[in-house]
Amino acid sequence: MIFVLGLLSLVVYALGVRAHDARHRRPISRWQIAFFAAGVTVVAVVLSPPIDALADASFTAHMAQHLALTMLAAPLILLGAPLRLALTAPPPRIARPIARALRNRLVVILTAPVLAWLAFVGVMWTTHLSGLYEAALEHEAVHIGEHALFLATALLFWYPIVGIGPTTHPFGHFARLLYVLLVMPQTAFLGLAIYQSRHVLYPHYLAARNPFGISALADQQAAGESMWIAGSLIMFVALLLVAADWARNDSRLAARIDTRLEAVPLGGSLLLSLAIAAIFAPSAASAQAASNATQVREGRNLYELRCSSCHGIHLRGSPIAPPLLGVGAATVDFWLETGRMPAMVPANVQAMHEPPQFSLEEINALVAYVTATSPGGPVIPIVANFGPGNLVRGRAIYAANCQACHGAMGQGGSVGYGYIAPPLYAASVTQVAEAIRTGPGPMPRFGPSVLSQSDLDAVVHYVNVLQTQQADPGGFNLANLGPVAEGFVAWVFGLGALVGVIRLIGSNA
Amino acid sequence: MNAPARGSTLQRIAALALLISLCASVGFAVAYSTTESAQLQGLALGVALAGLAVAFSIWGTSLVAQEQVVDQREMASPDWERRTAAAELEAGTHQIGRRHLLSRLLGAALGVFGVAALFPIRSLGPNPNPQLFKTKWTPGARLVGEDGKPVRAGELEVGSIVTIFPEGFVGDASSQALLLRLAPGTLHATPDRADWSPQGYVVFSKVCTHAGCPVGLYRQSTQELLCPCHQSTFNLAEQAKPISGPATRALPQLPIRIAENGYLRAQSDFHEPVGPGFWERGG
Amino acid sequence: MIAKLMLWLDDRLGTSSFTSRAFRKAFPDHWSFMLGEIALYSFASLLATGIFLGLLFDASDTHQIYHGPYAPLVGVSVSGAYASTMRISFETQAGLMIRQIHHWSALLFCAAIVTHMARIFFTGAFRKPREINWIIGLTLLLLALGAGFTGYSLPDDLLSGTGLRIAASIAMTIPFVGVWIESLFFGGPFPAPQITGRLFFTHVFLLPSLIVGLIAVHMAILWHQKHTQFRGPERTESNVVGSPLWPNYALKSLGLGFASFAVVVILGGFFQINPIWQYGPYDPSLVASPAQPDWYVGWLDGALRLGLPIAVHIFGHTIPAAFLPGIVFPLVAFTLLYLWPWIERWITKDDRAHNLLDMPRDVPWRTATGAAILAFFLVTTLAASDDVQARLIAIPVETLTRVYQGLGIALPILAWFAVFQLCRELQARAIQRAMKDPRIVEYVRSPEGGFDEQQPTSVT
Repeated sequence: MIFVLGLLSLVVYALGVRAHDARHRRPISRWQIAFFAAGVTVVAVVLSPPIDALADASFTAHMAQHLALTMLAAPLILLGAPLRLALTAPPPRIARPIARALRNRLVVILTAPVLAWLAFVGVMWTTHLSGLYEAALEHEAVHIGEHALFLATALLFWYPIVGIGPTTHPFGHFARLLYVLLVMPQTAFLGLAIYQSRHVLYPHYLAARNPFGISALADQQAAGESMWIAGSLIMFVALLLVAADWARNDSRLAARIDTRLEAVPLGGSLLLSLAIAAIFAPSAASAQAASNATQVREGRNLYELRCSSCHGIHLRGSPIAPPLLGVGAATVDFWLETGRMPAMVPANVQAMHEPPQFSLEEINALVAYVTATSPGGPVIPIVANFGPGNLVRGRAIYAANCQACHGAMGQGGSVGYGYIAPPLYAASVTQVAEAIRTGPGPMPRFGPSVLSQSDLDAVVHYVNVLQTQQADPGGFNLANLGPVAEGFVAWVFGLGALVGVIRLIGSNA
Repeated sequence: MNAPARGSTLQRIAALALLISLCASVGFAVAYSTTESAQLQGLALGVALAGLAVAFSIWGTSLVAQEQVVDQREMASPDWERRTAAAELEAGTHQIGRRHLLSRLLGAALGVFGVAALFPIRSLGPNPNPQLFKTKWTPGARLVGEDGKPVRAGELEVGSIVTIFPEGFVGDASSQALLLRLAPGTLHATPDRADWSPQGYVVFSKVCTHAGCPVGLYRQSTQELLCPCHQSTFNLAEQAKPISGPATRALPQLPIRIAENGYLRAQSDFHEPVGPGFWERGG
Repeated sequence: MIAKLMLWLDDRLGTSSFTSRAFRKAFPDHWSFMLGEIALYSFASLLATGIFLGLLFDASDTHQIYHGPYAPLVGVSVSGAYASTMRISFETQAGLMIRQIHHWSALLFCAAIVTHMARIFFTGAFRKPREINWIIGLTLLLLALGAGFTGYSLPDDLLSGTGLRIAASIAMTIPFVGVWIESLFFGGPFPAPQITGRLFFTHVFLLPSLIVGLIAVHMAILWHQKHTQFRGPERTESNVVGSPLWPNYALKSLGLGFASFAVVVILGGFFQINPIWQYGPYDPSLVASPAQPDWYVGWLDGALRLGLPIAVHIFGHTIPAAFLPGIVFPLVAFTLLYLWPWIERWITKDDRAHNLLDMPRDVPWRTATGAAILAFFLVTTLAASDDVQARLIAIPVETLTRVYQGLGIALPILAWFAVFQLCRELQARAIQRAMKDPRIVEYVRSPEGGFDEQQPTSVT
């Protein structure tokens, strides 16, 4: 749908350009067309289904989406001077009514810069701090309306800054400077407020499965951080451009902007907002399987209701699921607590960590039933002893046994054939220990003779440190992606910024 | 040319930039002395430099007279000069070349000297060949883990994996190996390796046969090893034959036996060189 | 005061004859001519930060017990190289920032060189009389890659140590002399303790002195030959039009210089790079993800990943599978690039000197070829991170490998034709625009001997 709209607007614009070029000596500059096309492309890409899906699951991605819409697409579209084209392209008998409509009382009032500023800021604050955001996440219609609102207020906001095209509100240079300057603290404060919130603002993200493998709170903090930083950065760039423009040009800015202004890498903000911040691990309480008769009975009922259709009567298994004989309390507890069972994905797709589908009592009951029916197998490990002494040994054990698959920073990794060793940030310490002892899925198992209890304490301690206190004194850790992300940042931010600089100080002839 | 009005505005901006830069430089000195945060130090220093950048850029593009100058290029030297140079060269060279015996001897002397001068390069490293064909594994060497403790049969369950070394050589790069226990009946051992893997315990070299990285990833559900560097996959059931990725050779297998007291011991060194291929390695 | 200094110098060196012309020397201002300067200033940043780091680094393989503030490594035996890098990062004031600035500058340095080289290629600036500078520039690129690789291998951490292992293995694939080359370079079969000191010496002395020397020659030749320029009014093959060096160009260049410094400082302060404490010290039996080199070596690692598992056996000797992507591919690619000015001359039969640049669209076949080469390098660079992509977009890494193998063949071909076509269209549009521009007229000789004006029928 969005593609159709985007394509339509590009077609209309192209027709307009043709009409304009046919009747004017000076053709529309390539840059203007490129800006408009880029702006429409950004809108289409950012609102396309895959990105939308990503935004549905991650606050940071959603924030990036909005930032791209309001701070990248909107000014780009306006740099394409669509309104001016609308006046100069059609023949006079069409252009005149358009011009008259633009002078209409209502339009004049609504497009006043002060109102545009207030609308932009107001919409920003109210959508984030009211129930509107959550409602948008839950209902598609509200979401579309929200995006339309963002885009509309952004276009109105940027119009006086870009300064191309017909306007009934003369807006001096100094005013423009002030206009941008005053909006900077708004994005900063809102971003900061989101960043510092200690609880998740939008419950929708608690239930969603985060594609970056981080907790909803960490995601939210990253989103707040990116809004604050990216928003300030973009506004600062806009400030510089307004100042530069003021310097270069005391009359109409339009012609100059076409050739002088090159897209300073505003697209870098997209990546910036995808940077992941500190990691938090919500620790779920561990299930203590205390077997007694009622628990076993309840467990059997649950088993027969929810599990036996795949895992067979009396844990015997079936053609579509393995038997659960002798798997041990740790195995059952792990798979249920991490929501991997009951299976919600097809058998050939790897199940990832989700919120559990059973309550804690139900999980305890199922554990009791399985261990009572078929004793044996790893018990639920108890990890304690998080002293400073075993942190070093824990790191050594982690390095020797875990980091090849799970990554040096616990960020996870591909293990081939479509399998992934998941990031370790979401699991509780007990779940980590259970995974080590039981070797779920493709993961090897590490029994007591390979890793003693004190070894287990040590390595789980280290994983816990990775989850909660990851040392990033150097700044943004770029999602722990390593040299890949570093290269990307160097090209996009480093070289991109400097190419912007040389476009400004060099000539184009 | 710039109108004076514009110039003074730009001048103000440049002045502001320099002022900010000045404050930021002071800020950097303060940040350096009082905080350990790379972010604060970087911010101060960065703003200081950016301010100077803005000032210089404005100055160079707008506050000095924008003019264009034209230089004429000198192409190659004029013909007479080229001829003179060629003649001078020829005159001097002829004097040398006239003396045939001497010039030939000179050429030979310089040539042989050049070759001889390359010989000291040999001192930069030892003959690598002996070390490439063997590791520290000897007949009867006990398998020990990274902590130096010997491994017994029975300590490993199916689906487990341990990195091992020969006793006394923990950490040795070429001897590093993986001890795994495969599910019974899954290993298809060739006849010549029938007694290499008692009770499902197998040992393979951990050094990838493609480019030498440790093959650290194990998918126990399918009993396959994966090397993270270039994604070569080895199927353990077929004696670590590569089934995916750029590796061409199976990981060398170490023949082991279960000794008295249950300790696992090597029967001998690997039967082929471990690690990536090289010219002398043979088929 | 400066004037007094100039006089003082002239008394001793006779500089005024040089400076009087130098100050008015013409420097064309097109923005794309400043890409080389970005590389230059990143290198300056590397020198400055490198001196700081070199004075604090301990290039020793001798192991010691770590006792610094990073808790998970306290008591671990690490090399002097690793320990001193940890000290720089955690116990030296501004050490971490400067270390990060240094590494970001290296990434930027290589990126700027590649972009600058692309500009030279696509505008034909390598043609006579500038072949020497093309050779020098390409050599500088290789030296920069070498300096980067040796540099990030200095801290002896797990990630770079793995890279050294791969480099040693690639060297070993060379027929006849491979294992000897490896042993002579590293000081023995991998892992040889001598490598730490050799990396330091190479990174801190050998390569920088070569780079500095070649940059000096590069710029001296540029100065002597004068810069190229795009076609334009009053610009000919035998002149050069631009801003005077003093004060205009000098000020702009300084502005760019400070901007480059500002960028790497901001990156160094805010973006963590190469966190060696996370990777841990190098141990030949350990490996972790991420398992990628710095971006400018990514094309080589990606080529290794995409390489086919085919080894050649000749008379009892082996040419391993990694030989083709690891040795042959770079050799062929860089030989092609080195010889390009002569290859182009052989194709175009054009022996003349050129001081006016081509618009890339005006030489469609060269632009398309350059695009195809870049496309191939892009595919191999992207392939280096295929396992990271596999994790993020949940597509099996084996599938991605196949995709990139296919793209490695298809994308350059597609790129060639697409860019060729694009150039043709841009040419056509430029002609159309010129023909409609009333300021451009064609003068045609009339039979009577006078000249008539008319709208142009073609653009040459």
